Amino acid sequence: MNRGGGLTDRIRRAIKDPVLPGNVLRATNTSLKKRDETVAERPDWEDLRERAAKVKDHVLANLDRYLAEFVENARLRGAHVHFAKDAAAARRIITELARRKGATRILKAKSMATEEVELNQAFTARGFTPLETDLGEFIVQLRDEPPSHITAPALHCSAEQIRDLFAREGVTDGRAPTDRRELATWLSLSARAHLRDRLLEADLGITGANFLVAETGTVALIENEGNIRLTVTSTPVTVSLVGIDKLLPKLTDLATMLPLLTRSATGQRMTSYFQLISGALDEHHIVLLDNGRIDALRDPENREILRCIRCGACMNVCPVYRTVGGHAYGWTYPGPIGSLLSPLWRGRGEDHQLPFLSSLCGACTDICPVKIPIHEHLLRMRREAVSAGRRGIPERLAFRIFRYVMQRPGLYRRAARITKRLLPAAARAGLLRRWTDTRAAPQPAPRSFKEMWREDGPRFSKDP
Amino acid sequence: MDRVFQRIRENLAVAGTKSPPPPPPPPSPVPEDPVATFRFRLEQAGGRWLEFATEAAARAAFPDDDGETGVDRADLLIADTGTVVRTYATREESRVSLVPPRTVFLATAATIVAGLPEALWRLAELHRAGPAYTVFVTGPSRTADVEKQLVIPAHGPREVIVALVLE
Ligand code: SF4
Repeated sequence: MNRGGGLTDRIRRAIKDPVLPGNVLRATNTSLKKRDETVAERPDWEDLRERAAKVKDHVLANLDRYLAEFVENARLRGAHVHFAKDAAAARRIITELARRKGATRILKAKSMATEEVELNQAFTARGFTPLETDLGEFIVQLRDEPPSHITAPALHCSAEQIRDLFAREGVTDGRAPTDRRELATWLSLSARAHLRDRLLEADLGITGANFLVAETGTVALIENEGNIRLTVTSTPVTVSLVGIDKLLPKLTDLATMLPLLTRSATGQRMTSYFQLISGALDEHHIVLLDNGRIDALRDPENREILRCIRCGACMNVCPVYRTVGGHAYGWTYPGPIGSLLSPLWRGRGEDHQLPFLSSLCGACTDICPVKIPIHEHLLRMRREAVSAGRRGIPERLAFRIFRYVMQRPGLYRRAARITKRLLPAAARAGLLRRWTDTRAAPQPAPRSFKEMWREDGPRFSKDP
Repeated sequence: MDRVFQRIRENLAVAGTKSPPPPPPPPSPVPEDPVATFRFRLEQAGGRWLEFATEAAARAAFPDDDGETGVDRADLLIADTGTVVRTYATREESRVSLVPPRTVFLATAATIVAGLPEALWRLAELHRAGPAYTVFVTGPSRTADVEKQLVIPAHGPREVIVALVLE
């Protein structure tokens, strides 16, 4: 699986992959272009962002109240509400429900929460695997890997890779069109035909949710393919696994959030389908997921991160994500927001290194529809990782030495001269390979600033 | 569940909270010709627009017994996005606009609202009153999961027609 190995191994593997970086770059470019076009149509874009940030801040600051309101209203309308403290609890509740219902044919709509709790693995251990109904999710399920992007799961695959995958797995008979331009259509329609019967009738449907509405006990679901509508309507029992950070106070708040989400995610004014389910299904189980979210409320800085509505725009625009793709990050949520959520919610040793995977250019902050100052949080989390001693002795030592030298001008000059002379030799001897393998080697300037000042004097200051 | 609320309260208490509730979203600008705007947006989203003198004429044009066409009605039309809004009594009933390859929504001009806020204001009343299941449909089903290239249809209908009944 592409998520194996340590962080550095995964990054190296991604960069060295013959097709992955090109695939990711092309796909994210297309997403950004469409996003920019539809955002330009909304002169009130900044106002919408501001409003959305306020809505989320208000909900998060009063989460106990709104959660209680949601639970009461959903139950009043006939839904069953469960609470899962962590991933294991969520897996237990849902697999137990499936067992009680004797469900073997299980449909799954795209959901990052179910990825987060590794629900499919829990089902597979019991002998049956839910069918991923979203095309992108279906592709990565066949490839036996997790999604690499939160709104475009198979964005790292080329049409040719999917063509070969489908032929191998019997989705198609292998007679693909030779014209590349027809390939995407042919593959998508083949998947539809292949899945059709299984999507029309099953025992249990599993979904996530884009939003929960407190005043009406509503689960709101956005999609384009119709697979979520099928998952909900082809089965007598529906389970929705939803993070408690997805709450909104009122139904009309969707008028603020939706145009931001659809434009940022897919560059659409509105997606093909948008469902509001207020307890009206035969049997609807709503599993509210904590898994680190409640702890994150404690610190107002971290609380700001919970504004995220999972549009994926910060991934599309991030120079790091665009180079390495999603699997390198090692958890469900990649890209800039993932580098914040992974240390915050999961907090494994390696997760704390993720905030360092950023150029701090701030493009994520500029694009974020709910105005999370993402790069500032990345910087803060770096600071926290350093003060917690998470960066290892060599880096600490290096910075110690750097500080010592910087504070002593004479020493600094001598050190700079030596470094300049040694650097090309070191590069030739391959000592810098860990750096230069994936980056250009830094070239020292022919003359130092001091030398220019001394030799050229005032003339230097007039240089353009 | 009480433990959960308790934990949330404890965590929120650490950093004094209470941010004021934001004002409701402002109304959408009202289009000069809502019908024309709706039609433009619908077609942009890949839907088709037809007009009929009477409902009987529209129904005659689309017999719904061939398994190819699901004939449905629109509760609301959203001009700003070309969206049909439909509240269904049951999940089975909603399949009419999902399973057949073509959906026809019968509609009247009186049901057009300017934008999403207006549609949600009306729906809020319904959803506050009790169980409700509403679906917004904007054009045919689609996917862009292979190299971000748009493909129609995905798992839903390939064709969505809004049939405006004039009388
Ligand atoms: S952090 Fe902002 S840009 Fe990134 S996924 Fe969340 S909402 Fe979108």
